[in-house]
Amino acid sequence: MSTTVPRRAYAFDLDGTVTTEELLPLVAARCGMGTEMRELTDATMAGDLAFEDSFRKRCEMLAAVPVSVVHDVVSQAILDPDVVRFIAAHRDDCWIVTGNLDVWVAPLVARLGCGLFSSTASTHGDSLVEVTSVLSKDDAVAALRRGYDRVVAIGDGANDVPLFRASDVSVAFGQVHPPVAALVAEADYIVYTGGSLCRLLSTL
Amino acid sequence: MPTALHAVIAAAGFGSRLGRGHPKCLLEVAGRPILAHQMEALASVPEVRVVVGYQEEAVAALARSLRPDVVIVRNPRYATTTTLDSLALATRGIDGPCLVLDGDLLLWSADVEDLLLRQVDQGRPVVCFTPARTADAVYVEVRPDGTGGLPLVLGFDRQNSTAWEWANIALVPAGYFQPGGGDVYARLSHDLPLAAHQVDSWEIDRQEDLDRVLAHLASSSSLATTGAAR
Repeated sequence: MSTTVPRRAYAFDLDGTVTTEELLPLVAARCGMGTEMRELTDATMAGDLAFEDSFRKRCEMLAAVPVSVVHDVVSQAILDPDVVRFIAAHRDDCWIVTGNLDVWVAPLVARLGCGLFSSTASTHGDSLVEVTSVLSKDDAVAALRRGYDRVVAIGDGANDVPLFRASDVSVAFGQVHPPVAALVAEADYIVYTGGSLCRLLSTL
Repeated sequence: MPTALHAVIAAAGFGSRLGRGHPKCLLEVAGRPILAHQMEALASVPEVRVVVGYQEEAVAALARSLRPDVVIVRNPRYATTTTLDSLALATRGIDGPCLVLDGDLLLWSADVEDLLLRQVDQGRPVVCFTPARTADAVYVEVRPDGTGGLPLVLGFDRQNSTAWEWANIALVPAGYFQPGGGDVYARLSHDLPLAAHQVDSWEIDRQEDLDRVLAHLASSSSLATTGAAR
């Protein structure tokens, strides 16, 4: 029987898990599209809209926003301090697994210092051209399994269901809003504060 | 410095013998749900985990409102697993002693604090016992330990009554419970004789247990009275 400690990857959703606010509504609010974006985001998080369709629609809404403006808004998003601390202490084993676009979130994730799986887009200068791929979170877990024995997932919305199903241990995080029922049904644990999340993660 | 940094409340079950249609931890006693009384008693424990199953949304919502840093452990197979399985799930990964208790009993903080000062030696648990009074009691044979004055539990018995019953509260070492079903006291029986700790706790399995504790609370000077029955 092996006595080595299993190598664990911690796969964090970004919006509403690492950040205390959903990022696209923040960008939309800066550009006067707040209400429409909010409704679309809420419906998607609740699982009423398929993620990929909704995400492409939301990207279209924001396509005209310069990438630099998106970076500026995203850089001001409030992050959960306990989660940030945990990631900093386990940089090599923490991964952001987000349906959000690489070109929008990369600077934020670079500051966190951990790995990233995301949707992708092409740009031309400071403009978004098109979404080139939408991430399936279970693909990210399959990739993580190549380097890790155990995958621990942390998320809050309906689009984290594939992430949870593919992972070994799942934690629904209800800090910003109660975790969605469809996600709770796939979860092993539910926590509501950053402090209790990180204390739990250190035992998993 | 308390021994245990974690407490686990097993609140996943039906509570069918009380026949109320909701989990017993939600039952109101003296104006507050049992879970509220328990959270108050466990206020000094750094982490509390609640295992949920039957009506998990309601139990989790209450637990969260009482203590935002609670960790909810889901036992979706609650209908076909036992309290021991719930405790195995909830204590997985905890690398130190853990205070475990059923979700259908009243206990008070003075007893919790005293219990947390007990040492958990070498993989051996400390089991709690209380005056025998519940309708479905698991009786314990208790003997004061000759050397230190601390009592020992020599055995568990469902048939032959004694003055004391298993309180469904224990301080267990890391990894003590593994999944596989069975009763918690059956698992504890493997380690007899057991270091024991007397508490004043009231388990509510049947209506007569509820009536008894309500009468007791009504006759006590106040709810803040602790250890009064010692």
